[in-house]
Amino acid sequence: MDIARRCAYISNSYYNIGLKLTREYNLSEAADNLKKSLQFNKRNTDARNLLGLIYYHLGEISDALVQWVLSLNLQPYDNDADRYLNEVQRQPGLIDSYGQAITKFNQALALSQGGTDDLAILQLIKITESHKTYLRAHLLLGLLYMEVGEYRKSYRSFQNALRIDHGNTLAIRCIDELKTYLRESQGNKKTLKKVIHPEKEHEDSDIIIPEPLKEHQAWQTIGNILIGLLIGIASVAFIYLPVKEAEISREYNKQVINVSQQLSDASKTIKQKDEEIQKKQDKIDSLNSELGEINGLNDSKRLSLQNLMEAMRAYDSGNIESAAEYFAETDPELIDDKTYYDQLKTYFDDDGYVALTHKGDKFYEEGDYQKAMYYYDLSISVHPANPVAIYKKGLCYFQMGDRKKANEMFTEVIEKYPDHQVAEMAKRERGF
Amino acid sequence: MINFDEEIKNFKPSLEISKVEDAIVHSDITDVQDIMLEMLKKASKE
Repeated sequence: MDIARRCAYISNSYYNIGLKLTREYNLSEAADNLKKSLQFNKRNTDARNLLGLIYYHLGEISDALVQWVLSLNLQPYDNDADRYLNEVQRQPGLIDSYGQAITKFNQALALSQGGTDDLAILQLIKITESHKTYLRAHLLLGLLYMEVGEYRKSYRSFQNALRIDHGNTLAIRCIDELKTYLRESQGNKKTLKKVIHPEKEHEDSDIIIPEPLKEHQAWQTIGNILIGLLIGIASVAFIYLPVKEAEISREYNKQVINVSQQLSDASKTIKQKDEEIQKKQDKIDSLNSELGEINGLNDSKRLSLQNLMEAMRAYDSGNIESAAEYFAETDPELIDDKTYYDQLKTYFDDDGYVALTHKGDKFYEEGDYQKAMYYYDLSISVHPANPVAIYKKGLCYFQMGDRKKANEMFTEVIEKYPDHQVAEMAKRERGF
Repeated sequence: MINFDEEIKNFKPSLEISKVEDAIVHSDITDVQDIMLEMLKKASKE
């Protein structure tokens, strides 16, 4: 057998192995065999075309194009590569789409080699979503997940890689590594199972149920929002509103209690006022009664009683001047029952005469000496031992030009009340 | 134990679409048959 035939024979053998492995979806190994086949016979068109198909399936469209173009160059006629190239070119955007995926993969590879794993992972996730058979993207993603400790995701990536290429040695090795690592580091079979068989949790009750990655559909999202709203409304209806209602009720009760208290206090005050009015009415009735009894008595006594009665009436109505006038005209000697007289006398002796004097002072300051003297006289009449009012009455006379009467007043003060402070002032007025 | 850095080093960038033409032009498709024939030629000359 010559060399050419021997090489063709070996090439065909490798091709047959490669074809068998390809049919078993053991693509990496098949590709290796097909490459060996081509090393022995570069004109083995079937081997080259199949190698191109494997590259195409694994997402490496550029490599596929290279193989098919070479194949077509080596055998321009009756070549399936021609058909493959036409198919690829006929689909609009196919080459661009693969080209972009390849560019992104190269960027992700550069990022991962530079240590920027997070960005590389994001890039690879996008690639594997749009090009599900891009084997090297799955493998690189699996490695990166493993590196960052996302073992479950790493396992899933390698599983995806194995679904594309059943005999991929890197994927098999990494899955074995994952199993071993988890078994040694955690010693927890459940966790390991959770990582390895996340989709079989419903079949094995011993396995901890992992967090499944759900693909939310629109109606699920809307349903969740509605459930959230219902829970919110129920919370308001059953929790917030009763609390608020109780709070309002408490506040209302408190206000009712306050108002009741105020009403009660007002009632008490009214009752007290009523009692006072009744007492005063009783006094008046008593005096009227007394007056009736003494109708037969002499005029002086009757006049005194009338004055006392008027004084009481004026005092009750707050008219101090009138009360003082009537009181001064009352003769206590002619009154048998001095209860009311003593009551008025106590008032005038304590405060009443001072109030009358102050009213006189007011008119004195205004220059109305007649009125001032009127009040000083009233003050003296209800409280005769009153040196201040006497002194001030003297001042009124003095201001009115009656020096004689003024001196009489000053002299009275000096003689009757020599120790009082106005006595010195009176002396000065007299020129002593 | 898998060495991440070593594994990453084994990854080669995919061939970009824009470089397909260059790859075809510079492809070395020499096979064993070519090598053997070359060797036989050299041997016959000697």
